[in-house]
Amino acid sequence: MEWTLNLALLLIGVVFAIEALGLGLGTIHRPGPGFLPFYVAIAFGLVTCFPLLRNILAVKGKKGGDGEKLSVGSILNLTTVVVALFGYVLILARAGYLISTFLLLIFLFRAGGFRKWSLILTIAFVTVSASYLVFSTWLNIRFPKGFLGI
Amino acid sequence: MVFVELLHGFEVAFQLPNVLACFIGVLVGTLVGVLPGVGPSAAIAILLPATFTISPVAAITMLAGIYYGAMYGGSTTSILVNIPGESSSVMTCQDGYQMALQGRAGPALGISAFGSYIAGTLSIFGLILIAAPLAKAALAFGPPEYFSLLCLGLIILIHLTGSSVVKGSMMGLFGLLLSFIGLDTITGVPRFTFGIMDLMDRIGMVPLLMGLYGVGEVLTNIATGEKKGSIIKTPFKGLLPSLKDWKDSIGAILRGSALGFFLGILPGGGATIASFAAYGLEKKISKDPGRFGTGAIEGVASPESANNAAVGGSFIPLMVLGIPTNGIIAMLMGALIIHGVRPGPDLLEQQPTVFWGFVASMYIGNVLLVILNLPLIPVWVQILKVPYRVLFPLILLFTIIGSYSVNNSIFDVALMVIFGVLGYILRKFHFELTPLVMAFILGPMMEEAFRQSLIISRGSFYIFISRPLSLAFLSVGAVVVLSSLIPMFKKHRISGSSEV
Repeated sequence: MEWTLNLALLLIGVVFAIEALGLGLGTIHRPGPGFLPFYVAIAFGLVTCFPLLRNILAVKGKKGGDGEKLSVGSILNLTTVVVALFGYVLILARAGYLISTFLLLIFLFRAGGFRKWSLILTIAFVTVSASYLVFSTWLNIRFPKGFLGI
Repeated sequence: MVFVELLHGFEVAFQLPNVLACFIGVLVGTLVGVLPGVGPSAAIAILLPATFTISPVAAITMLAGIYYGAMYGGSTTSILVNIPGESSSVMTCQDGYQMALQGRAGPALGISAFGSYIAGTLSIFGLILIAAPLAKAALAFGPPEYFSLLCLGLIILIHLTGSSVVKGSMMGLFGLLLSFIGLDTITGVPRFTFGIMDLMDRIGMVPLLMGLYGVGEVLTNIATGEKKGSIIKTPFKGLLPSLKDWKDSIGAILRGSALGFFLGILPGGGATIASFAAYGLEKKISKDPGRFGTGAIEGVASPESANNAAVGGSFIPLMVLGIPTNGIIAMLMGALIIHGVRPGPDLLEQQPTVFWGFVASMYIGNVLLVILNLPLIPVWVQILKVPYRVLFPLILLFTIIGSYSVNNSIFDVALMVIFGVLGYILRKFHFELTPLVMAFILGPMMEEAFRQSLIISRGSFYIFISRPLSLAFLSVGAVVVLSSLIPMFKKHRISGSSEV
């Protein structure tokens, strides 16, 4: 799987190099906004080629540095947390801080292994209320209000 | 003169908000040091936005307090549970846990705290002695010297951190690319924003740090599962080491302090390397190396002294040259920049209050840590029992609030989550995050110095080698690069000849 990461990084390098060319390299006397980014992107692409080539050559039966193998439970927990975080970002503006954070905490405590719903709901409620009191009421952070307007 | 400046520093450090910031910093630092799975990097990233409303001195005092506080706290878990709270406390497990098993947890914790205090204090004196003359010498730096020095710092860091120079280089260059995103400071042209207005103002340091270190660390811990160890059941009495313990340890403490301090100054050095090196040194010079690993008190005293001394040492290149030597120091540099303080040779002259106030606060922090640590050990032991499934939702909540509160921006929260996932993936494949973070923070300065140099020289790269200091920095950088390429080339030749 490491090769996909290296390939993605290589593509990022290519995109940056093309974009830097579009920005203009300028002259050596007066370097343009794309000058240094272009050469850094080229260097990045070249360096990334080394591990990528090694991944491709090692693909036949060799250990390719795929990192530690994860258990099914760990993958499930990890996916739940990542999906919950992205979902949180998507609903934060519409649902507001209180509702979206309450939902996120329910997901996270559940993913962490809590099984009793009454306990999960209570901890999530207490945590979100306490955080709102401290950060919004006391420290004046303006959280998104959402459709409830609070 | 230095004495007067230092007195003024104590005057600043003893102001109530600064003492309070120092207290909070060392308390949080000890707490994260005690808790395995929560590191000082994550704690600094999480608390960074909380410092926006306080003075720069209070902010750096608090954040640095987390760093050296974690060094103290890390020893508690190493000794009592055999799980290092921090990577810099790994070596402490070797003899600390053995001492605890033999019913000597008290003296182990005691010598660890006193050794840390002595090392911390000595490193502050080292910082005071070296900083001023070095800053004077560094005032002669122009853009070419600065660019070459930044390159050298980055090269050494890539070379020393992690096992792979290629992966380190990739991360360094990736960090530079990320630093280019946003409005170009010289021409005002938007770069690599891809039409996203929120990116015009560059990628925020807080979402990047919180994502890579805070969220990334949580995801890594979720994936690897909770590590559990058994806390020593026997009650530990008598935290004060005996006279014999002191006799056995004092040499190790002094040697660990000196070695840790100098390793802390080097780019890529820092607390972890210092603790390993100090332990190795003690074992090497010991008359009976076989005692190490079986409960030798020197095996606790030396790494604990070294990791604390390294913290003091690592502030010299940051404060005097504006060059961070490791990831945490890079984060502290980021915090200073956010507060409008640019670390570098001018800092001592232009903002002496910040520098001397910070130095004095480190001493106060060290005293606070000894006072805090020993009586609170039973409390830390109880905290150790808090399961990670309770902690991680709270950590994630703090990172969300922290990254949102900087600009009241949901986009920053999204960026943090993206960097969190990226941080997890990069850790999984053993990429070092430090070069990425360091290059991201140094990138704008490097580019500015590079472009200014070329404008000064009217487009001649000769400026970088015609100035002696710049040439010296680049030469050292070239030697470091070559020294890492030669073993790779040799390895390739050997494998090539064996195939034939």
